[in-house]
Amino acid sequence: MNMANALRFLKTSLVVTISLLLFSSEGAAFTVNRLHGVPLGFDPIHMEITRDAFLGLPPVYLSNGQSLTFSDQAITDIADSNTNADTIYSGNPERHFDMELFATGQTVLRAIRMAIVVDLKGPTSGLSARELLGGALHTLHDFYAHSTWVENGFGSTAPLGEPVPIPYVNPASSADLCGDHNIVAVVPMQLTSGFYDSVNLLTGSNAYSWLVGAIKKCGHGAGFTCNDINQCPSEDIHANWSGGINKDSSVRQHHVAARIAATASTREYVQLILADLGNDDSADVAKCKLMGRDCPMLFLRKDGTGTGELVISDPPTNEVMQSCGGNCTQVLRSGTLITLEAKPDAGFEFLGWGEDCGAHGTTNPIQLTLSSTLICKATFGALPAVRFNPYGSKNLSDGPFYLELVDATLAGTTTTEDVTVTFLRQVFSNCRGLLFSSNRVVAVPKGQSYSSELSGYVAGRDPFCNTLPIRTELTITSAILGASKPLNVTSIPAAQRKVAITR
Amino acid sequence: MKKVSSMIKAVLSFLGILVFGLTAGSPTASAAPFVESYTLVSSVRSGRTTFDYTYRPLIRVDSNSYRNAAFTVTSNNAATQIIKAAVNAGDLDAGNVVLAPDTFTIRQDRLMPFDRAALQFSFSGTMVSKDSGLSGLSVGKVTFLEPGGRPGHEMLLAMRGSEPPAGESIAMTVDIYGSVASATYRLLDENAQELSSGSLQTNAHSTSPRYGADVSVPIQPFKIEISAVGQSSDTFVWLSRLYAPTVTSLRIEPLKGVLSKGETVPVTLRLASAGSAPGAAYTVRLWLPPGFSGAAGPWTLAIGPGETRDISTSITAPAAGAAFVRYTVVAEALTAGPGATPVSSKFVFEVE
Repeated sequence: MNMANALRFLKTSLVVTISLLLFSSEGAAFTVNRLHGVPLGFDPIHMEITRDAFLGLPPVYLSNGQSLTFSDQAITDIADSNTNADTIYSGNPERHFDMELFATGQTVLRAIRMAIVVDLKGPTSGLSARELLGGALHTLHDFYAHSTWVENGFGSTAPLGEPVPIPYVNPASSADLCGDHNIVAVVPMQLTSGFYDSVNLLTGSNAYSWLVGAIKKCGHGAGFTCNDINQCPSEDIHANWSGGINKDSSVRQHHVAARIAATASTREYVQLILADLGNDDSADVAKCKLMGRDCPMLFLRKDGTGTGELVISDPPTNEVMQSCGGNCTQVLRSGTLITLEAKPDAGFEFLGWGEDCGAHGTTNPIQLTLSSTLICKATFGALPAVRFNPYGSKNLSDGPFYLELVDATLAGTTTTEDVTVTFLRQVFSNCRGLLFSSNRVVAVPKGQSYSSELSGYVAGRDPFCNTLPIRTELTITSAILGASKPLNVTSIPAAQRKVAITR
Repeated sequence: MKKVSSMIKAVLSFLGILVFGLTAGSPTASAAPFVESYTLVSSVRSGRTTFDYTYRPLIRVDSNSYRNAAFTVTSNNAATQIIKAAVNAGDLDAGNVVLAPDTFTIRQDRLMPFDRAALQFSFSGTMVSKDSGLSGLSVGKVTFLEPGGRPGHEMLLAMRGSEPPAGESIAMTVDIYGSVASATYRLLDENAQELSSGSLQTNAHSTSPRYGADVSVPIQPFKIEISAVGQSSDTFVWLSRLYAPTVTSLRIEPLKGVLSKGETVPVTLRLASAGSAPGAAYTVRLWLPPGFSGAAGPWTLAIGPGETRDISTSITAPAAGAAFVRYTVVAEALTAGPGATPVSSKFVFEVE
């Protein structure tokens, strides 16, 4: 064995060993797995490459941060459509990157990339987009199986779905690009793919090659026949369809490299489409459709005179932690258990849920399992505020003086809970000015608009002057609704929160 | 507030169309079968300006199977009245595209143009393929395979006909989702008596959910029972619709499957008898999707045992529309005899 033969043997052995490691059954003899042809386990390699690529895709993130993966059914749809492409596109060599139709094949891939986006943005189910994608991926896989990309080591993947020319394509090439058995292109840095127009089949020792005009080109060869006489010495490579450069089955040289490149290229193509879809709600819907996921929409709406925000989370995963400043929409995976909390702004209160969440009443927060489109409406109201009535400078004889509950619009109101009001009491005398100050607390009972009369706070004598205080000022500083809900007293003008009672 | 609410409803309505797309020709995203298209069966004048049109829907089934499936047609256009709203779809197996055995009828005021979007189809049916137990398994589509592919790339592909050929050995695949420990099949007759059984095989080195077996198709109607054992040792059993094996095959053989917009392509409809079937007269017709045109029959022809008869026609792709849209063309052959099972076949064209 000379050095060249030794290297060839080593190379062949390596490929076969890798193939065995990747695809053979445990302890069984090496069996042929085909890109085309009757598959093992009804699972041809086009399908396997598709599944491998999709199962290895990183999660896709919706705009709210929730992650998504392709459903098994969606992958099957895409893989089936990929496999069926050999029938639908049997008369379209550009769909298989055959006969050096590189520019046309790439144009098809770019056009389908756009067509998939258009389809997904329309009123479709996603199935037609998956079928389009499967067909495109067949073309993409065939680029690596039918061209000399991997033999020439032109890089991991080609920019097949992008508006960038495929490198190393020389449309004006007049060179003989095929060596013995068509397994290695003899002209470096030039890309070719297999031909199968039978009228140009050469005979004799070049039976695996083809003439296009006067130029010898590589034959495509059948996917299930051996292309290397060293590897399959019993195979008649001079028979029609034998030989050729395709890497469709695991008996062919460079099959593993083509398969690895096709897998990586599939992921790149899918990522391009996902990026094309964008990152808004409609993009989320489109991504879900493509990925075969049911993603209901949650419409969050606010109602009432109050203000507040709606906070959505999906504990314990906490992929979604969104706060709706205003009305908003969320696209979520079906089956997601979310926690929805209505958080009123200061001075306002949550009054209850409406629309599809109406059954939850005033429970807050609530938990929902998203399985269909829902509208949840939260009603916020203004918390009652507190003021004096009458207010301003008053004479004791003008009394009585009351605490009055008002809402933000200053209309009279009542509460469903007691209100506890704290105000600063400052007592002034003639001889010393501010005699003393202290906080005082008074309760407005539930269901009442007014407290009892406050004139009694104007009392006492100044022991130093031995006179009655000349003025008592009461200023509301805070109010609590029920046990602990603070009222926004600052929504009431300062003048209305103060009364100065003179004698 | 009402204004806001109506605005929300309007937005929802738009997004609902975006998400669910409830009109024929606008497949739905919801997990349910939908009417992909419908083709005209007959038209009868019913008034001074009205005609009654009867249509047959083409149904695309989602990834679940259904029993007692039905569609109800409604119209949101006053010029289009529904005369017969209920379309019985029978049993639907996951992943199939089937021609409905039933029709619906509308009454159209010809003074107004017919708007396909005016018709809406609501689906009802009992889902049977989803696992309700602990196995975590579900069964997807069942497919019979036939030789296909292209020269040098021959392989087995999904059979174009809706019914398997009687008396033949044929490859059958079934998709089983979940962690499957083992899977078997049984062919049962209409009385649930076992006709044959076997194990389902898969490629142990693949992640594919596809299991398969070579089955001998009986000459009588049969159902397929799939039993799959999950990793938790719980068994999931799934029963298919009733298959009616046929000794007569019908194929759509176009000159090519990828068409340019407006392109006309010759199509051969090939009706073949397996030889054991008695001679029969068939009425053959082609069901063209919306936008396609061409001679669609019906043609009447007799076929003897072992004979093959061809019908030559041509169809023209839509002149406009989005690129790379796939259209399903269905051919159907009916015999005149009572209870005769229609033979149908489909072909998917792509218009670039």
